[in-house]
Amino acid sequence: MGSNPLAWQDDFGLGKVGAAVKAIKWGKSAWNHVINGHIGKKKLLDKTKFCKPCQIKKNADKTVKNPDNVIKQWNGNTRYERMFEKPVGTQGERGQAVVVNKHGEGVTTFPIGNITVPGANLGVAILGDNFFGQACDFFNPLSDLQDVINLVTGASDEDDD
Amino acid sequence: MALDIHVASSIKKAEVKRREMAVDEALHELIFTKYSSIAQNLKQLSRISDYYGDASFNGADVKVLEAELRSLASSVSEQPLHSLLSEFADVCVRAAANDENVYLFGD
Repeated sequence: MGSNPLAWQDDFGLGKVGAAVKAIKWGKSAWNHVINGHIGKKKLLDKTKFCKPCQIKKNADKTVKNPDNVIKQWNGNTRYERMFEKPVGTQGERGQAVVVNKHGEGVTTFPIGNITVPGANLGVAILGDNFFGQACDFFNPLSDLQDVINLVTGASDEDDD
Repeated sequence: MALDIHVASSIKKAEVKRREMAVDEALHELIFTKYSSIAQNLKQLSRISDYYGDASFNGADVKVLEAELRSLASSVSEQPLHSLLSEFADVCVRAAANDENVYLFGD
């Protein structure tokens, strides 16, 4: 019975999970925060700005229902990110990030240029911007050869610049 | 996307100014995870535990915040975090010298 597609019954309601995701609830404080920071060209100019304010909630719901990236944050919030076909931000940003608290309420939403690479920020924060380059040099035989040449000729890495 | 730090004499003036600096999200997380045992005892610093929230520090609070940032900076082992905390403390010093307030605006 369970494997017959004609007589299949959804005892646990799993087939309706996508449809059951309701619109995000936005409290007055959170929504004012979004409007204050991410709409308009006169205030908080370092923040990314939405180009179509009337689309913010609709796109936020789409982002949470069908995200390209989901990041669970240390304080219990969840951050959803999704790239759209058309720009959502005034600087051509096609992505939208939505932060939702553990009760499913909207915390904030804003345009983003790209999807966050998991762990990349923390890696750069702890190891520094040049860690990857130094790691490549460590394993690159050509850089070893250059070290030998430098040793023989008495040159240093800084002489290359 | 960042937690932006502004300095001005009022929140309305802060909103129309450009930021002094931004707090990186990963470094912010490091403060309240790895160094949470220290940070939770720092009254002013603990007010910025929400990366997406706003906060304001007026008058004497700015000087207390600066002292807390210096204290935490002396305890951290990551150079980028030490630099961030020191830079933030320097912003507080400049704000206090001009009788201005420090405002943080989250995304």
